[in-house]
Amino acid sequence: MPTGTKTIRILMCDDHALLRGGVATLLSAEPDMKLIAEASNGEEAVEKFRMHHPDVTLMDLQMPGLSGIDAIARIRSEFPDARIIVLTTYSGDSQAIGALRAGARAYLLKAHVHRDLPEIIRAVYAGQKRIPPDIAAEVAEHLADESLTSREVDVLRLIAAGNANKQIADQLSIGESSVKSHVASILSKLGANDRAHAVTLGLKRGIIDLQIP
Amino acid sequence: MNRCRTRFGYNMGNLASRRPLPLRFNWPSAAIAATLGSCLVCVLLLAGPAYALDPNKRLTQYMHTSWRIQDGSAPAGMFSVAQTSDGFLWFTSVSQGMYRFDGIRFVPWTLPVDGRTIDHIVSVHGDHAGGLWAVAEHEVFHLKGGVITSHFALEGQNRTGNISEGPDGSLWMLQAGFNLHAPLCHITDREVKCFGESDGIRLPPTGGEALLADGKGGFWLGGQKAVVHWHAGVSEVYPIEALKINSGDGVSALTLDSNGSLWIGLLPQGAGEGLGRLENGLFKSFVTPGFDGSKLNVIAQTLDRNGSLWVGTLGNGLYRIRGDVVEHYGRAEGLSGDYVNDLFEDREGILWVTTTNGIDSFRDPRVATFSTSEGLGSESAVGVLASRDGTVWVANGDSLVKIKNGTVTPIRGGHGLPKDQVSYMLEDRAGNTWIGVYDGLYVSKNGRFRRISEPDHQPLGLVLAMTEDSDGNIWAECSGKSRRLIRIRDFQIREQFPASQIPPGQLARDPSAGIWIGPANGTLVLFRDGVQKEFPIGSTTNLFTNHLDVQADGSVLASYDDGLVGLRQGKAQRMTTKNGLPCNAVYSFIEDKQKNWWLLTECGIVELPDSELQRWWANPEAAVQTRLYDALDGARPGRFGIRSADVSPDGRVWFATGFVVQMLDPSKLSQKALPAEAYIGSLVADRKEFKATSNLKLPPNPRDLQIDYTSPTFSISQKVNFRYRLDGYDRDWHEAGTRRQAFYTDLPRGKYSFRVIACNSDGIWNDHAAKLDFYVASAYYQTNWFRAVCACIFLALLWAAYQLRVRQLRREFNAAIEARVSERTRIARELHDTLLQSLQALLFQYQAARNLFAAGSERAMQVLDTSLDRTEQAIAESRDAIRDIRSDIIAQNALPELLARAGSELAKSQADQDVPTFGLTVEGERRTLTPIIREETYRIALELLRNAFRHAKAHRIETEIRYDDDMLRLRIRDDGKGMDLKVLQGDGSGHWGLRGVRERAQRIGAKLDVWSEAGAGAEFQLTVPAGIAYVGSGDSLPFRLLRKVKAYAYRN
Repeated sequence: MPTGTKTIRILMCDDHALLRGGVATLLSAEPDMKLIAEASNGEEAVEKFRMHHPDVTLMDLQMPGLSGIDAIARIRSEFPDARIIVLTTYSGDSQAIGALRAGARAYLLKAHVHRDLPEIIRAVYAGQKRIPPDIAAEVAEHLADESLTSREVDVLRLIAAGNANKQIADQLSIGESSVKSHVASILSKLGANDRAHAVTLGLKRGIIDLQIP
Repeated sequence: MNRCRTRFGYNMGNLASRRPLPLRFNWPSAAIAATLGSCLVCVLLLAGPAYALDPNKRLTQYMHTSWRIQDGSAPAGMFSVAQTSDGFLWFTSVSQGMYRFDGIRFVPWTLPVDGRTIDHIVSVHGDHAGGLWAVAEHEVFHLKGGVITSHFALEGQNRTGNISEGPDGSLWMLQAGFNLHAPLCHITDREVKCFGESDGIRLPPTGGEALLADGKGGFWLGGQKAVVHWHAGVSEVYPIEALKINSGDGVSALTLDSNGSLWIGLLPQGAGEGLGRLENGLFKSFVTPGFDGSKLNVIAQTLDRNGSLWVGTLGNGLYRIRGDVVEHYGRAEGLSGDYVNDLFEDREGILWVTTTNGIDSFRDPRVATFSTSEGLGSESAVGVLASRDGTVWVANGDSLVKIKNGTVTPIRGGHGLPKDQVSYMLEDRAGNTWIGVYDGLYVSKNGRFRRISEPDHQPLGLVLAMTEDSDGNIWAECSGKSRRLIRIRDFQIREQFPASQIPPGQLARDPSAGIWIGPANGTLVLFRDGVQKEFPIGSTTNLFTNHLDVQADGSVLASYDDGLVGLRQGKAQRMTTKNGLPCNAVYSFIEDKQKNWWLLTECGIVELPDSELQRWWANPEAAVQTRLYDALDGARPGRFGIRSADVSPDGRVWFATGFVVQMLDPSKLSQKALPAEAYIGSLVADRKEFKATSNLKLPPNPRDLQIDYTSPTFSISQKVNFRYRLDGYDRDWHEAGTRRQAFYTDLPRGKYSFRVIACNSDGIWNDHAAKLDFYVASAYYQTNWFRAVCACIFLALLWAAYQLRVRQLRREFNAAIEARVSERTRIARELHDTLLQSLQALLFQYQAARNLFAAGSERAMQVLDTSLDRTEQAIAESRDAIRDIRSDIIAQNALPELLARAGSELAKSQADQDVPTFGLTVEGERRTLTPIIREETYRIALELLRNAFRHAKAHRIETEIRYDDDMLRLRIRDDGKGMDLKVLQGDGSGHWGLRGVRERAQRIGAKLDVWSEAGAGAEFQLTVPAGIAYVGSGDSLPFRLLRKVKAYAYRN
């Protein structure tokens, strides 16, 4: 049960209204928490944060426009003591590492956190960090892996969007042959058998997300 | 074969003043430039003399041909003549260069000297080894096969015909000049060596112009004032008295005759000058009754192979001297001019004369003519009779003419014979000569003529036919007041038969008894013992019997204007052109001593061997081999003979043609003309001329090819026929006739060999063919390397097509993978966006509800109700997603059905809102779409429809599917709020649908066009090329490729 007198002011940032509704319902049952604002994308989140200075921010990572990680980084650059909880659908070392590096205090999976969310919000509000053990293990597993370069990530993302090499080359303004070598590098780094497999692995590991770029 | 011939020159300077310059004449340049070609080893020289000039004939009886400058038939200014062993004649002119002559054309020929033109060629000489010496004024060239083999400059000056060929083929040449101490030069291919005083030649330093080999290793040299015989380093000098103070031209010609007499021709004329002989070491002018040699300016001499000396003069034409007989032939007789330049007897025995006005040739014709030129009083010879003593009597229109030993003597009156027209002559077995004249019949007895008296004093009139029967009766057909047949015995008329009783006609004796009569009624009549027996000859027209003859076996031959009729054992048969007779009208005929028959016909004199006649007797349809002697052989047929054929005891055949008397000697006709050798001159391909060299290469695809060939034959050039064939093209020989060109068009590439053979005037083919090998080059596209390149290109194209196909397959494979990836991504996104988000949200809802149970149930109930609503909503969204994913529905339905269904479902799912009406139209004949296109098109349409239904706020949404032949067209139109530019351009965030649609369209090679304006609705048009869209459009690979290319072009 909450003991503090102060109400924790929360900013919820997710592009799915349905989910925001669900979280809002959940938080409304907590007397020491108040959902003071909602945002549906990264930019909006930054704006709302500036406006409301929430105590805790719940941030989805996959959003159109400014991604969750970028939004975290931007908020943290303006408000270094901002307490941000990543609330995401997918596990994945890459995303988790990115988010934690940007300054997130907790990395939570939507499917696992419904019981503990209020507790974790309070903990983060109190200044703690929370990384679920399975995510921590996954991060640890791939920490030593060679990470994809940002250009490779771009290429993988475009592959995931169903582009052929030529279209990727056009969109990135690079040669088709470079795309090929990027693809080869991606396949080798991820240990993928083919492009479809690479996309699957990339999604699984959070290197790319399902967000439309 | 050391046939010595002297050629003589003269001083040009002196001459110029004596004769007018010849008119300059431009010889047609169209003539084909000559080339000696490949000079064949000439076997002809080994053949004996062919048809030399018969010394027994009068000069006028030779066939004389003139090529006159003024007619344009001869080049101007021809001086020297020579013949090379290949048979060609060469004419030179000091001003006009050289010409090669083949009997038909004069072809200009230039000496191939370093591009230098040698115009001043004063003489030519063909050596026995096939070469040609061309002598310029101060130079001499030796040519072989058209190439100069040696060339020497000489100190002195050369004149026309100062040459003598040594037995080894080297050349001896006597030169003229001033202070010329070594005038006699010996020229071989290697060197020139000149001899003079130091070698014992005692000529004045002016040299000389006439040179003659004495046949014993020495030379006769003709100088300005003397003749010198130089032998073994010793000179015998024979001064000519009249030339003692001479400073100009002296001896111009030297000839040794068959008796060993040296004939000397001097250019100056006058007492002790002109033409003469060396007698007892002194020059003596040649004078006979009626001829004075001292009055001649002798320029050239030649001794022909029959020993006749020919002398050419300046101003007096040509003389032939044989023994004491001198004959003259000048301009009046038809010589082209009286100023002779040179004389030359060619290997066929033809004498060539060059004059200032042209070129003349004399040849011996096969058929000799006796005309007024030979002494006939008039040209009206109707009968001929060869008597046993060798005298030939001619019944001429105005007199009786006697021909004996070639001398023609008219007998006008005297000997008891009236001067009147002689019509018929007969020599009876007793040797009496019967002569029918205008008013009667005479018989000669003891050299005097006696008239046969008419018992009724009626003049017998002209005797038209006569014969002597086997009983010694003389029969005559007379045309007096009344036409009648008379019988004479013992010089008395015993019987007379009027024409009403016996039909008049030609007469002939029957070998057993009686006579034959050839009347003009289509029959032949045997009149024997007062009985007439008629034999029809099968003629439809009643032509006169031209001639009648009965052979010893009783076979009758009669000639008519429509052929020769034979009657044997009562059966008539006819020989006409169908049997091979040259022409039908046979005027007269006679059998010679060799039993060959000679026919005087309208086209000439025809030789019919007895063997051929016998074949015809056996088979009237037989084709007979005959030989025609026509005008070119000297025949001058006419049709007015009465008794017009006879054979003299020496075997010669005589005809009276109605105009002239013609004679031929069957024994001499067996001397055949030299075989004609064919030569190929040049080859013209598409107007470009090529020399006939071996392995000639022609440019590809010659359109017109012309090959010029000829044969240097001069006896009767017009009768030289040719056959040719092109090996590699022709299957057989072409009979070219007298044509001297062969033509071919569009010869394909390849090797060819052109062969041509010639036949001489006797019709004898020379089997030795002239041959020209050439090949027509391949055009670049006919060559093997081009084909190889083509094959390479084809293989490369094949390889490229293969690569293209591989790449296409790879692309298709990649596209399939990408489609799979994107489909997976899409499904994942779909799940993420709908099901997962909804479930996650519900999770929080339920968590909230659970948490709220502690606080109070009402609030928890509220949350649960919301959760239920949201679950319902999530189910609806999931159903949409599942429909998108499920492709079995798509696979089982055609596009219109799919869209109709999608439209109605979308309308249903919008139940709570303002539902737009949905319309679908299909145009064109339905086509089956390929599965991928159907699916992709459906998905694009679905996305667009979904957008329209959900976001456009439209009242009506229309979908139009149009199956065109060249494309599939899908249009979706709404009347909703429209879209702004940012959305249209597809780079706006949030509206992933349009961008996805574009990408999908691009991927399948379709094109998406969008028209929209804010507030004015939107229209989308998707066009898919037919080649991509429809199943089975273009089954063949090229067609599919074309479609692909089109599609590719369309896409870009």
